[in-house]
Amino acid sequence: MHHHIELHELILAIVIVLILVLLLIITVLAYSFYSYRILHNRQSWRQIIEYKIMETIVGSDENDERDKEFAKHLKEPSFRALFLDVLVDSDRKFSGGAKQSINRLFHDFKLEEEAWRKLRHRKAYLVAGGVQELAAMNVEAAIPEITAKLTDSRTAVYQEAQYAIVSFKGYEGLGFLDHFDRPLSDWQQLRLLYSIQDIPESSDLHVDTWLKSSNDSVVIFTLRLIRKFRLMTFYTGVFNLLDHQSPKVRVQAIRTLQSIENSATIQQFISIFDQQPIEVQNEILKAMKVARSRECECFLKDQLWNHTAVSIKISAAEVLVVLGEEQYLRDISQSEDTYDELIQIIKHALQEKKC
Amino acid sequence: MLEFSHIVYEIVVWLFLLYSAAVFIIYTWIGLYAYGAVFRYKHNNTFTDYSIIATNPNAPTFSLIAPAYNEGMTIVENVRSLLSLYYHNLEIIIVNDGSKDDSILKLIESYELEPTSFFVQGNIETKLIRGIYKSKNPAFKKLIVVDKENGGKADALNVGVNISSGDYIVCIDVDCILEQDAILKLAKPFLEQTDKRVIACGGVIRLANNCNVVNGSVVDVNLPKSWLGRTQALEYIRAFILGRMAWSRASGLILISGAFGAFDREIVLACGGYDRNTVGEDMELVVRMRRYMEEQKQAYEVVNIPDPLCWTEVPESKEVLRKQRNRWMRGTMETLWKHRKLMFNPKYGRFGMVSMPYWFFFEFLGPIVEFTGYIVFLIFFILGIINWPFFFALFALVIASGILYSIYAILVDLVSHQVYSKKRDLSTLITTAILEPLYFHPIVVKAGVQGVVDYFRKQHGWGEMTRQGFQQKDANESIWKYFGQRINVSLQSLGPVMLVFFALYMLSVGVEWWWYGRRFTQLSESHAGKYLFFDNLVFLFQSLGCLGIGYLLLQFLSSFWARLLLVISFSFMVVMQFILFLYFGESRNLLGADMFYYSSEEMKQILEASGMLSFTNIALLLLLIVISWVPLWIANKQTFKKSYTSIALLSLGIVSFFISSASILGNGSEKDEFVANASRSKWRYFFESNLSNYVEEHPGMLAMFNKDDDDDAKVLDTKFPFLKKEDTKDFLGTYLQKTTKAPNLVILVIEGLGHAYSSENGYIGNFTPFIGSLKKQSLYWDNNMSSSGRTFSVLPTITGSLPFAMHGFLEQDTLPDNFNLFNILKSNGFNTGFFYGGHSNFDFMKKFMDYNKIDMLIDQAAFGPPYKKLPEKGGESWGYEDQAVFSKLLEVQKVQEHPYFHVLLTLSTHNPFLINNTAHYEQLFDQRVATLDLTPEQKKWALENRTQLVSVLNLDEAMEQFFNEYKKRADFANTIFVITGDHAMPEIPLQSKIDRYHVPLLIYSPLLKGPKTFHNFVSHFDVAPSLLAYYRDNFGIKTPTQVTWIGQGLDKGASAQGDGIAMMQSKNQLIDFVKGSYHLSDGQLYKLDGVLNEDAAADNVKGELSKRFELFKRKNKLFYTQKRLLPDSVYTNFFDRAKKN
Repeated sequence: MHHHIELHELILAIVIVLILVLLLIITVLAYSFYSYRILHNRQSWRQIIEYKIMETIVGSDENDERDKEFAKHLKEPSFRALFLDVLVDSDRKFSGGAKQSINRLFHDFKLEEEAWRKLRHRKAYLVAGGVQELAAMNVEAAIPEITAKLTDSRTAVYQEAQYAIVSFKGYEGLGFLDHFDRPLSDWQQLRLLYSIQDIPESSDLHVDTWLKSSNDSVVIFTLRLIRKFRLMTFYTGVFNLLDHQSPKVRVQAIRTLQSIENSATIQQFISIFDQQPIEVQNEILKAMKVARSRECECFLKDQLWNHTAVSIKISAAEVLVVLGEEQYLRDISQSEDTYDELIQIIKHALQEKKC
Repeated sequence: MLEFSHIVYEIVVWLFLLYSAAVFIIYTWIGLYAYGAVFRYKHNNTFTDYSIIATNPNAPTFSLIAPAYNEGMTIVENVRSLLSLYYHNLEIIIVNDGSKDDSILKLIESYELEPTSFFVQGNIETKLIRGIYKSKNPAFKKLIVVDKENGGKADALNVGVNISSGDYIVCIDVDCILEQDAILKLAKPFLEQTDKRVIACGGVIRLANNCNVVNGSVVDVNLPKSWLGRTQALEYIRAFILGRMAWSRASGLILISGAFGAFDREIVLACGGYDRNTVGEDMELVVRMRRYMEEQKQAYEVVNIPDPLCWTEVPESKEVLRKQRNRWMRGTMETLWKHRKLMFNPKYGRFGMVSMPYWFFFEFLGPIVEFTGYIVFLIFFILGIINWPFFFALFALVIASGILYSIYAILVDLVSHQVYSKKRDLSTLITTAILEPLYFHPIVVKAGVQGVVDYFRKQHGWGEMTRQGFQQKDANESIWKYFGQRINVSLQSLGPVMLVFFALYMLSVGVEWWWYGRRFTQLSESHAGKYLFFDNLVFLFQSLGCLGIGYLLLQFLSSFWARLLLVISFSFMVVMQFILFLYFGESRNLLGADMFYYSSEEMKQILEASGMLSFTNIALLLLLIVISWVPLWIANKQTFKKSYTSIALLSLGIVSFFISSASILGNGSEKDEFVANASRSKWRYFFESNLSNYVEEHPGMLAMFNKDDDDDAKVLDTKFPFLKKEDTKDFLGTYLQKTTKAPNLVILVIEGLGHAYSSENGYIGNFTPFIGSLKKQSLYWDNNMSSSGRTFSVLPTITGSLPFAMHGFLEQDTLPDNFNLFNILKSNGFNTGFFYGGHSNFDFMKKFMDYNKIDMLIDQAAFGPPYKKLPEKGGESWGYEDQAVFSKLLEVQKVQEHPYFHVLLTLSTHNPFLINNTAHYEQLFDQRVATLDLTPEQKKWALENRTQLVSVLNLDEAMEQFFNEYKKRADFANTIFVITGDHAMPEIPLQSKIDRYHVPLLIYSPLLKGPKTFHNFVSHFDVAPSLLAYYRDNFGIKTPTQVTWIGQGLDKGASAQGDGIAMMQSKNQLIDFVKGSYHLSDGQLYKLDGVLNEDAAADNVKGELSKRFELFKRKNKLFYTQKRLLPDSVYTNFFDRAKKN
């Protein structure tokens, strides 16, 4: 037999929960006002910190009294945290002398320790923050420890470590790609590309290895890298990727080939065109539009007439417009034999040019 | 009736309580989970540099689509704001949805637009496009303006999707103000995708009311001025910061707000774009996209980011707000209905099993449940049945929880994205949180409920469109047509399963009959086979009818679960049919609800002791399960082309409820109860037994059908219906010699000692020579009845003349205070004890003994060598043999000065009737059969039940040895022995219904003046009252002045003057009642003759007996519902006084 819950037991239970809820309301309220105060402080602190940075950059930080006040604030951990944040943020925005001044601030106020502490923390976001800060401060002593983080299992940590190593070492920092087996998100690729400014000629290039990587995202990243630095020597390696199993890789390979094109490129595009899926074919036509080569005129006319996909017809027509074949197109569109869809496509292509 | 109402009241209250608890739990989860999600996002984006994609040609292209309808007043400004968005690869598509104002002209003029030929590549069907415009000015090259015929927001968005060329589309309301970096922030999750494809992403929408907007950007954030606006600000914080973030983290988000959201264009096109037939197109699209991805088995995510990216004006008038919420509710309903297939569908993973049910139960049902709550409150208030302390406590809790949730949302918002950064804003928001439940909430609930009403009234959108596209066609059909088709399809798939079940079940009945034929020779002469077949056939049709209709209803919710449940039910029925008939074959008892009254331990012991838990049996059971499951499962995958088979079977099922086996084959009630039971459908009995048991346990269900009886009202008016003045006369004193010292009392309860085989008058003969001889020296009642057909009630009846409660007195959770021989005699200085060879926990006997605080509890654990256990079967023995139990009593109970009272319960004569030294007793049996003057009929019975009778001979000899030993002791001379059986063995076929209870009763003592046989009808209920009267009147023993005896003493017994006695056949069957010379059994009346034989009787006294029986049942019910038998004062006063003495 079951024990029946009596009404007064139920009321008692409800009242207990109610008391708990009321206590929680009080706690949340108290914490809200406390948080508000902190946030409010942060706003005024931010002004103080920004002023300090400005003074440092301009080189007029001689005011002792303000320095003392600043030092007093620095004892507060949340102020130090904010200071560090603002410094890292500012570091990104400046370069040259200003950047050096900001870097000096890191050292003057011993913020490095704070960053090291974060680096050795257990929580992923703090470790990532530590990596970012040490990289921003250019603390080269941290390179071995950050390198070790490249193999960390947590996405936030290894991504930040990759970015930091590349900021420290530039192109040389990409060595981790040799054995990288996780997907490299587009966002991470763009960050890494963004932070590589040049490729020294003396560099020991691993590009060939990366192009053959089994990790598609590494291949795509490498193609983007080749594109950015126009690494002509890898033309053949890139061309060989046109039969890669992933259409995404092929699309990127087309774009890269276009950017490092040579005299044979257009013919090569034409020769492989039929074996490609529609999205790669579209990409080839885009490449032709940029190349503006008359070599492909016949090929384009053929596509306009005979290809089954509308999107290809449109692209072909658009390239023909770029090649100055408006009259040819106009003739077709005015001919009574032309079917309606083609007329629409041609009009679409022709009028695009007007804008 | 009152009781019925009370149950309804309780159910209603509990449903609301459970729902509230579920809401409480789910919102607690949302709160905690969202906190993690918000901070994870914040931490990951502390130093994010969005500029790397702002101008990067490698960044994906976004197409921003803004439908506009009559926005002429603001459209130019709004477009300017959109053009200033910070993202390079962006195209902005403004769709003028057939505005009646001058929107398009203003746009043409302001942005130097000119019509352009445009080949629309997208293939979603839309209303006609009147023209597509692009600007001559290169500064506006991102802008495309489409002018189209009016078709609603979804249609306009679809035009935008068709035209767009980006990788992703961003759909917004044109009057929204976007943050400059809104696209950058929305783009990040798409760019971060790796193994899971991000198919949609939403951001937080905030309120633009009362904010200062300069050049299309919000420069000064303020809370709205009106409370209506402020409550919506709070609501948006709760929804976006908590709700959506939690669901986004849990991969369960199914709503990206229509005001601002980004989608993967390829998936949108693959799904067929927005649904034009729903008012909730935003939610519907996300659900359809998720469904598409699930069906394509691609990993995906729907993401919400907590950055405030979009500002929108919310309605600040109640009327507009109501319309908006009404629309949201209808949108939710339309989406849920259209995608009902996903609900609880494991194929769709978390989406089907969690997200959709959440939306159904909490987002859709929430306002309805709340509204129902108000109505219920009003009804309860009018009826005056509100428990105000409970109401106020709960009301306060609900309000406080709501406030807590809101304040918590404000806190999370504050520490993550300080939109409202002024101190005043914080305090205003908190005040809003406190006022909201009283002011804003009722409006929203009312609008939601109105939305439900409108939805059904308008039958919105189920019959207009026939557009093709992914999962679009489901919703576009009439609801009746839909029902018709659904039923038809279900009937077609039901046919094969029903046929296979029919075959399997009838096969099992065939096996049942074959099995009985092998075991029971007496069945071959009867027509039992015909009855068995027909009764099962009728039951089979009834089952098909019920389960089939249940399936048809359930498949509307989920066809997968309906099919699975159907196959499980059918297989279970087949397997159970085997178990039920095998049980009957083994025990000759029908299995009913009583199986649920044994604890799992007891059940295990019973099964092990009977040898059923052998490896072979378990293997056979598994095989049986497989054999019954596989064909049904295979049939479940088949469908018939027509639904005729199912319709025919269901119709037969319905018809079968109006016929009974008796009406077709005539009344087959055999005089022989065994044959009658053998020919019944075991399943029907099992089902009906459970059903009636359930109804008994929930008496309110039938209360409304029962009329109150004024005559009985008086009896039931009292709180303690069994309480009466103790007026039992001393009857035994006359037959016993006077002594100065109170004699010892020993009650020997013999397991399964029926009259049929312990008396020469029995239909089998006397197989207890010693007991037979003892009868001649005792007071002997040859017409004595036990109170139950099983052991469970013998102790409370014989020692306390106690009522049964619901399933036996000892089955009650805690035993209510009661008087019985144990506690009364103990309080008078007797030593008390209980002796049993098995586990005393069995049938809760130990509980009774513990309650009575007896001095000696001797059970299996107290024995050891040299005592012998009964032989094992299946590795388990019931316990120690009767010889051991008898000897133990003599060993433990030393001769002593003060008196003692013991009860001894034997064991050897219990199924499986295994005893030690079988050969010896078999020899005795053979001699007995040879020497007794048995009729041929008796002889046949005896030989058929040889095993049982051999064990009876063993018991008899053990008892003889016991008495021989006892006689040698000094205390024997001053001891009274009561000897009786607990019930007759059901394993020996019963000739009549009363035979089950017909057991001998002997009172033997050296103090007896002489032997005497009584022929009046007495029962175990009469034993304790008479014994106590004897002790009270002859030895001054204190007995209570008020008692609750059912019996009236051995002198009166079950005579016509008394109230009659009820008997329980099993723990859930209270169907026998005897009064005077009539026996009412399961509605049938029998006349008892002088030797307790019975024959069906005319119904002239049936009414009276039924009434008496009913009265007893109601008294019994009153007792067990109150859980009290007598007032505390009566009980404590008696024992207090006894203590003082």
